[in-house]
Amino acid sequence: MVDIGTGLIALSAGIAIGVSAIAAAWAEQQIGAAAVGATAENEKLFGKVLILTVIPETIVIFGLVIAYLLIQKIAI
Amino acid sequence: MKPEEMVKVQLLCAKKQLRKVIKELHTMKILHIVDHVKGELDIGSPLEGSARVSETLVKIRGIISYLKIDPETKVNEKEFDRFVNKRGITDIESVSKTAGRLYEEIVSLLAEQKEIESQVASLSKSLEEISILRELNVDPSFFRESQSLASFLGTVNDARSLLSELRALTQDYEVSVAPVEKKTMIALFVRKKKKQEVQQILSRYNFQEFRPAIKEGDLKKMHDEGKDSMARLKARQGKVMQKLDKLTKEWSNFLVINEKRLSSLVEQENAPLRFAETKSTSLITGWVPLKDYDKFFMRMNELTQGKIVINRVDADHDADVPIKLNHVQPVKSFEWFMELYSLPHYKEIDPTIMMFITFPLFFGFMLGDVGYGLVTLAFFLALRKLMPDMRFLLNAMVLCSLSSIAFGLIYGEVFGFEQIGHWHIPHLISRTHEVTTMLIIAVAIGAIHVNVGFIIGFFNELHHGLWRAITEKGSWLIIEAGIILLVLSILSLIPFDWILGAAIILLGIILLILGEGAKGVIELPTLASHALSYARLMAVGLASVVLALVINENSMEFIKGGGVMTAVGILILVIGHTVNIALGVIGPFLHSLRLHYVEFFTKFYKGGGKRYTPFGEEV
Repeated sequence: MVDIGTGLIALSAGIAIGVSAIAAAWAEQQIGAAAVGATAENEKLFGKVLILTVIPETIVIFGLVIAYLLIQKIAI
Repeated sequence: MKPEEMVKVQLLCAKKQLRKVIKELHTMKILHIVDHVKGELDIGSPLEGSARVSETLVKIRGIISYLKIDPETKVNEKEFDRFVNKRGITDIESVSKTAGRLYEEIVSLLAEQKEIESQVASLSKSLEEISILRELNVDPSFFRESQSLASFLGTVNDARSLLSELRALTQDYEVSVAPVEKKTMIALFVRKKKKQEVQQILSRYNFQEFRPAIKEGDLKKMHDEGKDSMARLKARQGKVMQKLDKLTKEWSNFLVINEKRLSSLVEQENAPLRFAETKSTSLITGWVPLKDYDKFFMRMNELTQGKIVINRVDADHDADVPIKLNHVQPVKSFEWFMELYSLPHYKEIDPTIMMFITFPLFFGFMLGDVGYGLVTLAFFLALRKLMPDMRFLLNAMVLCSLSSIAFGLIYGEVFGFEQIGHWHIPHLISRTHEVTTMLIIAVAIGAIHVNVGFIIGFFNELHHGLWRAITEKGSWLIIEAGIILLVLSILSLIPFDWILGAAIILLGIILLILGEGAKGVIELPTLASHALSYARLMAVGLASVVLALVINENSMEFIKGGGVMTAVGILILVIGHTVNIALGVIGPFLHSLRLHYVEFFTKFYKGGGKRYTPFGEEV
């Protein structure tokens, strides 16, 4: 059995990455839908809209880094 | 590191020479024409005879579309030459006549085909009527208006219940029933006085009236005659199809080749629309690559025996200079990525070569597995054979696969396995065990990459002046240096007061505000966020290797089970790794691309260059 503190840390790590992933996904679906529409109108926009679509991805990377830092605390 | 150098030229020649000049320009494929905008000088008019060429081209394209010929089919030039020489259709005059005749012939054949089709449709409709009436065993004349009888012909959904209801109403009726598709066809005759009641009953059974076009006549005879006519129509139809097929086979080579030739001819004939003209001269403006200029100059003079004026114009180089990237293979493959984003501006540093280095590196860093690298290498090599159009992208992907193999050796991974049997694959760093190290390496790569971006940005801005370069790009580097000093002095790793670091940061921020205004300050956090964004190099790779481990562990359990279990295990192994490889190509590809486009390019790249498309080049 792990103690409750460890459990809370693990839970926090889970929340950090889970919520940031949801946020990134939500943002990306909004942008993605618009991006597909724009590309359908003008194929040349593909490069530009690709960038716009992937911008929110960074949010989940931050979540991952925080989650990883939290998990490190358990290891100690 | 810069796009190909261009010179702006103006050609002034007599209209008499124009056809010759245009033809040569089209063959040389060197001049990027700048379309003339009507001002003091008028826009030129097409060469003589262009209407005829255009008309013929329209006809040929029409035939190609009528005969459903693929305009991209492979053509046989030798056979074409034999074909046209035999028939004497070598000049535009005869091609035009032949195309006209062929067009007429095909249009009339298609009209005949359409007419036969409509006859077949109407005949099969009456044959169907005849067969229904014969099935019901009733004569069409029965349905004529009568004094005492009411007649009904049509479909109902339940004939049996209908009849029992009818029997309750009257015994005085005649009925005939036959199944038609999913419904029942019914012919019903009752006394006229019962007509309304019967109608009510019928409507409850979803009665849909059927009105045959045939009003009288011998059904058997009509049926036989109909069948005969149908056979004749089908035979005629077959003949027309045969004729069309024969024409397609005979002429497709001729049509496709002439379509290409005439398209290029039309482009030449209409080229003067892009020039300026006076009463007897034409003025052509355009861009020529500097290295081809001498050749261009000599050739034009030779062609016109010196009766042409070629002017090198000192153009403002911030103007719309067409962009030609000039890389050798394999760097050339990465031009595709630049075109996808936006071509560089003429004065900008062209980052293709940097993408050539870092894109495969990032890709390999993420996918990094000897097994996966070999599979993707084989896949992309095979795909390059199958899809020559995509070879630029695929060449780049081949490099990425090689990089994956190299990183696989560094990580000591083959299909996610770090050991085979009891033998540990040697490695420099283990991705699964040294996550923190990987994270630090990834962010460090990010910091370096982003700073390279700032330095390129600095040099890009230099042609706007040193001050602008320092305030817009140098300021970021100064802030970074300040942060490093501050952190190191706070940690007492260097014998300086922290004030020094803070002061340098402040200086950097002031310069940044001078250079980019408030926008620069708002973007300050990107210093951290963009470098951190490179943590994905570690994260995407870790996700891929963990998935591979899960697949391996699960399938091994099954494989040890023996018998059917082994087969299931192998299936899991194959499907699992296939999916993981697919993800492992898409993920690293997009993430690597994104790191370049978003984190790297935003530091220095403006883009917006127009592609160099010399006159005569196929688009």
